[in-house]
Amino acid sequence: MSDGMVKRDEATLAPGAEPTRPAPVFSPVVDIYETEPEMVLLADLPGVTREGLSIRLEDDILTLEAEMGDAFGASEAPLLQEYRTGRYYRQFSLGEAVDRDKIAATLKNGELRLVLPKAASARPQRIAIQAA
Amino acid sequence: MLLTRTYYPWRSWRGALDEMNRLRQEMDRVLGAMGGEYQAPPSAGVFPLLNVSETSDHYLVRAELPGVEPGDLNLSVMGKTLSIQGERKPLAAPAGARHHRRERTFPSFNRVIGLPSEVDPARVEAKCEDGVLLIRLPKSEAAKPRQIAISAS
Repeated sequence: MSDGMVKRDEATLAPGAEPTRPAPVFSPVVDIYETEPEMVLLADLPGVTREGLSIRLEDDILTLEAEMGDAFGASEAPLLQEYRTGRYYRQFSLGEAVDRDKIAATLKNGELRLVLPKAASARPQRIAIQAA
Repeated sequence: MLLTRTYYPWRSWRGALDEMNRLRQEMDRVLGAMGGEYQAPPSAGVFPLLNVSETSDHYLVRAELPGVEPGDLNLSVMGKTLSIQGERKPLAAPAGARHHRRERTFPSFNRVIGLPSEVDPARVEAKCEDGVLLIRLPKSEAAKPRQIAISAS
């Protein structure tokens, strides 16, 4: 992956789910890291606007869904198409309890940054050991 | 001697090859139209991938470059050649962060493509929008289609 090759796997939709319009569905590449107070998810979503992006958290399942813009404008004649456009779709199962009211998402330059603060119960707590 | 005006491409071996190429392109086009979409063969190690189109007076080149700031890009145009050079700077994770997944890449790239005809380098425009680079290259005057008036004799 270090040779600059772009990986864009076609995602599989949930069983029984069918896309409403015939566009390819891609799985976006992500980085996920964890610090003591929060989990941070960074996803590459080129071609996605704020309006085209939906992030849902149901139970422990986080769903990212996004519409890319069209590959070409209406009045253009394609000469070369190396990448396709369509939709992004990916689900994650969150292992840890997340403080749902404090989730924050920012989208800039096609890069999504999703900060999921851990619920107080899920943070590491130091337990004082009393001298006997 | 009998002369025909029929186009006969198999007259030479070169003509035959040209004809094979033309046939292959036509098959690609027809199959693509039937499948609704035609995907260019994936090219390993080539970055960024480009979509190129044209209008009557412009060429448009698009590239997916998420997280790339305009200041990290270096575009140059010479005659028919466009070169896109740059790098993607990774965001530093805070100290003490534990990574669960690391799928994104932060490549340096340098890609050069040839355009079908000459463009006017002084009027090339480029912008980055939602992680997609769009370059508008105006065709030079000589390359634009021209309507030819037919005068009645």
